[in-house]
Amino acid sequence: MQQRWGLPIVAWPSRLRPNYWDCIALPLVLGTIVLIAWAGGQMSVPYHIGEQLPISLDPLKLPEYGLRTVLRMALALVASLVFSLSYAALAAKSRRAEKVLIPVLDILQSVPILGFLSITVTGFIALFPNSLLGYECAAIFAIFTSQAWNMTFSLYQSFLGVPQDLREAARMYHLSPWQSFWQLEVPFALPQLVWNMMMSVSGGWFFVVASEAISVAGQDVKLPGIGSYIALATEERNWGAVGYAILAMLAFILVYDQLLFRPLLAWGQRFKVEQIGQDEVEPPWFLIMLQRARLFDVMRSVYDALIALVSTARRVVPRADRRPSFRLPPSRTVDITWNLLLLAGALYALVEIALFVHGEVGTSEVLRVFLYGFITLVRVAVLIVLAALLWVPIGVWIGLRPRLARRVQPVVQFLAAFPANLFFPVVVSAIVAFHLNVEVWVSPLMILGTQWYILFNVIAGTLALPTDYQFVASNLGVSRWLWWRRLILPGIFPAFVTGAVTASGGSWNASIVAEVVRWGDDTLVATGIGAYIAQQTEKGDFPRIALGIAVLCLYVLLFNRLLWRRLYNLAEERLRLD
Amino acid sequence: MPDDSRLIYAEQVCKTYQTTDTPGRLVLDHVDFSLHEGEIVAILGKSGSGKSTFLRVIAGLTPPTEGRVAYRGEIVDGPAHGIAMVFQTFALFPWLTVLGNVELGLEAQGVPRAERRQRALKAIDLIGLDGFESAYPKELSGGMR
Repeated sequence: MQQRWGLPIVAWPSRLRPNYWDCIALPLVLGTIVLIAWAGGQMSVPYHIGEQLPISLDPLKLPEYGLRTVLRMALALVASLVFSLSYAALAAKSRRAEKVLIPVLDILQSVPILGFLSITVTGFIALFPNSLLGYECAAIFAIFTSQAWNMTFSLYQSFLGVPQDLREAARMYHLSPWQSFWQLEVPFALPQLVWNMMMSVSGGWFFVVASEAISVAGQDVKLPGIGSYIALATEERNWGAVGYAILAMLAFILVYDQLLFRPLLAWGQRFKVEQIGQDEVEPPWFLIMLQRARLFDVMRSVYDALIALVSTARRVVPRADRRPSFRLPPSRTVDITWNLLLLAGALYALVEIALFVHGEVGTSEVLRVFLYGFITLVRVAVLIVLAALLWVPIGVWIGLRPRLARRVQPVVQFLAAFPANLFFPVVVSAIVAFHLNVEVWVSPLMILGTQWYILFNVIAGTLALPTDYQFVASNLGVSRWLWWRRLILPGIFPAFVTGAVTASGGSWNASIVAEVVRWGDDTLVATGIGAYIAQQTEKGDFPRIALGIAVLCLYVLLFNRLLWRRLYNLAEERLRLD
Repeated sequence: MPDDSRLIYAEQVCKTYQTTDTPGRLVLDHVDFSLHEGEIVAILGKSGSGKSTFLRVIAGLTPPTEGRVAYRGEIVDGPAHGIAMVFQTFALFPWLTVLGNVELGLEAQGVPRAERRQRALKAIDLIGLDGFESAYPKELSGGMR
């Protein structure tokens, strides 16, 4: 029998003896610990506001910069994971919380990363005076905002989609909500989550320039990192440095892929709900090492013991076993009160914002900002349709070939992670050279980084389609067109919606970077809400930033309510794989 | 209750599924049922006639719209301790091994690890699946599941 990926459970004392795999594992683990300790120490060096941090375009500095960027990304990823698990669980469990949390998530997703940065940076600096830690926190928070929302949406969707049978089985085994969360819901959500984590990390790379080279609200700090390197290279029009940055990016994304996502993906296969065994993908080398080296068995034993301790500890707390566990019909009075409270809160916030903004900005400017928003809306809608037409067929085609998908996915990931800012110089030069229409030709930049969300999710959705369905379809001799209409399109629909929601959110977000582009001294400005926010952010004009962000959020929210939310509901009610 | 040998009894159980457009679909119409100790009972019926729904009501997975169900003299108002059910799709957790699936119910009740393992292995032995403890559900044939 083939070596199974799970660890042997019986006879564990012998598995704790070291073996050859440990020769590789031990130095790797120790080395990683040393590197993390060093980079972590660099984060909290003393720093005084106004000081210039030396950033050099020397390619030899790139490994160091890369390491520090990677550490920031990892911290942000851990934070995103914790955040999305709790947030999505709450939204999926409580109908009333869902009413607030999901729209809030929509808004958070639509608030541009620059907006978060300009609002929080002063707070973080005040938190750690005379230390770089404040800026580091701001940067990590900015990266977090580019990762967390996407992961949360994915988890939320998976939690809603847990098969009814498994839910009932969990209830029959009398799993407590805590146990069923870790034994059922999280494992079920894992495959999709791993994909989205990968996507989120790519998104983080995309915004790494904006988050490391902090230049909002009068601040101008470049934290040592690969993002600052790119920012400096763009400022100085240094094509050579841009090239080195691309190479370094490639290397770091490869390392992330090999050490983190490849093993995670292979391991995540186990969590797919599917009864028929499928072609086993060969386990990646790093996963084999993790599973064979005894060192990790020792770690696992410690981890198991901890888990056992936690679950016993929880058992000491008396369980409300005798309480009737049928769900009570929702109380209308509480519902109405809750809705009224929400309405009151929203109205109050609205009045506050209106007062804050209206003191500074006239009515005609407000109307103009709404018009800007509409122009950007048209851009986003057209781009999403075009991207869907292009990437859905390609994504399905790839997803049906798991082996190919494994090979294509690092490429897609690289393309998605590739900071589109590096392409901007080319576009700016082309627009200037050929006297192209700025309003039209700047638009593709908005979707450059986000179209991959659609492709990624379509591939993931197709991969997650139970193989049985394809067997049935070919067994019934279903024709090509019917196969698309009856099997594939409904099957990937939930995944596609997730991808499209994220892509449109990302495009709104990217409009701020894309509607004003620079390369050295050439600056191109298109009409749109993104350009408005970008310009006001640079000036640090808070009432106008607030107005811009509020209008942007309003558009995104309406877009989500009127379109995406309906598609989501449709996906959940009709197309759930039960 | 005059008759103590009744393990399960159901009185006048009705179940209506609420649908959005119609007034609701009546699936179980005043069903009376009792099961005595030592009995093996099979319920036959056409597809969609409500056999699984009835089982779900007895197991306490779904509340009856009307009527009541009792197990060992106690009204069932949630998943009952002591009633097990095999699902049509088996409802095995695909990420747990055979052993893990068998142990899950015991784990939920807080049975200590060593005892849990011993009892689970015994059960696996009993149904003749020994040797497959560390296999995953998708590696088993239909009958084995």
